[in-house]
Amino acid sequence: MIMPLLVFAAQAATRGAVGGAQCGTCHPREVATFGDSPMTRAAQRPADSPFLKNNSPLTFHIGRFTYSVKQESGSSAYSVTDGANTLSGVIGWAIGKGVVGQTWLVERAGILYEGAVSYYPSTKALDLTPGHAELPRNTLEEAFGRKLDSSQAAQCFGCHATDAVWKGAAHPETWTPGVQCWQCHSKALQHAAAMKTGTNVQAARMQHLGGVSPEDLAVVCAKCHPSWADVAAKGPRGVLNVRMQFYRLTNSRCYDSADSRISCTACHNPHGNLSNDQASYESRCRACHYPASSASPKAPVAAKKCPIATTNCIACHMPKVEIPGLHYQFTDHEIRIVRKGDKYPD
Amino acid sequence: MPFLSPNTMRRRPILPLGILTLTFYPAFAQTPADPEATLKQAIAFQQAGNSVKAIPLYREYLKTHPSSSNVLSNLGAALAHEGKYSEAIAEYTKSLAVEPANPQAMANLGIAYYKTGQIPQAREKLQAVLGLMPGNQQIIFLMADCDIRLGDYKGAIGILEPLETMRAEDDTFDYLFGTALLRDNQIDRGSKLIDHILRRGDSAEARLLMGTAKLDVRDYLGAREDFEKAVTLNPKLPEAHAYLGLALARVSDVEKATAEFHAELALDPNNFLATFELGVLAAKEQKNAEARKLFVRSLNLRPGDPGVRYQLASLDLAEGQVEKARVALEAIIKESPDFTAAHVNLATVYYRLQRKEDGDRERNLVRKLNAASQAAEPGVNPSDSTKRGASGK
Repeated sequence: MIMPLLVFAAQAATRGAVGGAQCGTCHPREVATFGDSPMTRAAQRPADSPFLKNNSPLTFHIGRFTYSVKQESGSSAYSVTDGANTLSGVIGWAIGKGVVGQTWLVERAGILYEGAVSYYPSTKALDLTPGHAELPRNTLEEAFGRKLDSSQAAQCFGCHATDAVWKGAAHPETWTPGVQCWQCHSKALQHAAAMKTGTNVQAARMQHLGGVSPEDLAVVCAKCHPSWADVAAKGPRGVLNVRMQFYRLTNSRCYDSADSRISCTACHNPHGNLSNDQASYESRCRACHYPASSASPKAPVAAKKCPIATTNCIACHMPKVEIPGLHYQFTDHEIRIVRKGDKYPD
Repeated sequence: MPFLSPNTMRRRPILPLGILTLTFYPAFAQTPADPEATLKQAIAFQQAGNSVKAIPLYREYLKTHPSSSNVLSNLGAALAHEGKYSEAIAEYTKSLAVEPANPQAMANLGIAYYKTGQIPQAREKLQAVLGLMPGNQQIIFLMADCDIRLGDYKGAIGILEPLETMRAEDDTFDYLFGTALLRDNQIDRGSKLIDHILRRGDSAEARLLMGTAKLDVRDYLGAREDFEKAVTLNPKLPEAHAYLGLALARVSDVEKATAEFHAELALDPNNFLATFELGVLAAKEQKNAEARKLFVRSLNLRPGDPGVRYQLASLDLAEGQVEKARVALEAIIKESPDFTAAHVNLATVYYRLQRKEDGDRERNLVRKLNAASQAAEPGVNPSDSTKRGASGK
């Protein structure tokens, strides 16, 4: 069934009220920095999107179709014309924080669409939304965008927003942009309630994600970031999977499913902004390749030392790869010795 | 609804259900109570297409001649004509109990199984018929069709191949053989059959085959166009709606895909592909109970199918039945060692069971299988994979 846009304003953000503020009572550091996290900014209200605010109007031509995105009297309009006829809709949701790009979900005649064009900050222009180059564009309706049924909409909102998916169905009208605490911490709401009232505290204990193995942590991250199993079984193959960081990481020779020194959170703080400081990541490499000597018999065995350098690990061993059409160079998380002329290892 | 299209069936009737092999009796006057007169009347009704009147008369006759194999078979045919396949199967079975080598009863029993979607049983009976009637091409076509429905494409090719030179320019043969070849990834040979069919004019069958070939090379939009054309040319062509649904699902048009799968099931409630793919869509939407029901039904239609068993194991894994999933996946891999997705899930299972070494082994196997599959993609230079292997990956 195609996603009908229903209005349940009364139910909106009932859980949002419990969100950051309540968690921050006991976890002020995590909540304070989480506002800068890319996950918190995984979606925006159109009015808050700098790309929509600062670049109106935007246009894009492909074949006989011309797309236009502009802000008009407080709302953002998306349209496509073939010269004779025009289809228009209202941008209701801006998906993606805009490092790589931002895609808009558009409402037209009560139906939700993924816009066929997205904004790419590196080119400061519109281009086809990822995956849309392969879709048919024979009619104006097809050119407008991809109709989203309830489950497809649930996939978008389930990872880019909070409180927009109930019982497997999307309810975008009640969304809170971005990811909140309980998206990863599955018992957060019960835990918050228990701590507030002092009852059932033990039963509502949350799993300490910092202490789990890379594989178990990946199960949590895989709610939104494709897991090794997802990509290994269904693809994509080739450079398209450079965006699937956990899959790439597990293909690294140094990956060990039982060694927490190499896992998503070994390098990335899920409660903070994504660091661009390569040195901060290199300290993680050195944790294995140049570990501080320890008298403990349980200390992990040191990995091989690099014969070339002791710094700049990322630049050499995690090359940047561009996916055609996405106008962005992604860091390949398959840590390896890269030799000139080597094909992208899948 | 048989896999063979109504058009091809019309051109070459596979096997009439009500073949009457009884001796004809003298038409002298008899009282209605006379069993022979009753039988004669029953046959006359059945030959006139009035099975409703024939059935009670056959039953009346059988009260005094319960061991008449041919009459039991005829009663079965009359019941089948009325769509009462379960009762028909019972009568054919009785007929064969009396006369195990009765080819007509055996053939009709096979067809009754086929019509009710009991394809493995149909295949078995038809094989037995072929033993009694060697070289019967109608039986061979039905057997090949059964093999295709059961996913045994090599089996179908093996049966049809000996007829290749004899059956030049034959729609039914080209269609069946082409289907088996294309689904067995023998694209070049299959394409030649498509050309044969197209030379005789555009047809739904040719479009279905062309779409199938395009699906194999992941040209989903091209496949969708061919399947749409097939459905337009013949909305009742078996499997056309199911394949259109598959192409639509591959381009994420879930709503239309679902509608097409249901359209196929309206024509043929026993269609495997539509049933299975609806299960896949339900599983994607995490409607696990609905998905399981559809997969169980798929497994009944195609017993032992590793793809269906994999989907059921995946549901087990998703629902936390890790040990059950392990047992199923290990069995699948034993039978199909190159089934990559099963290795993927088995790796996940082992990690969940804290069996790191087994998990790592499965993960390495997946890498090898994916690398081999990528190296086999059209246009890939074989030296590329060697180079990758040499770099230690």
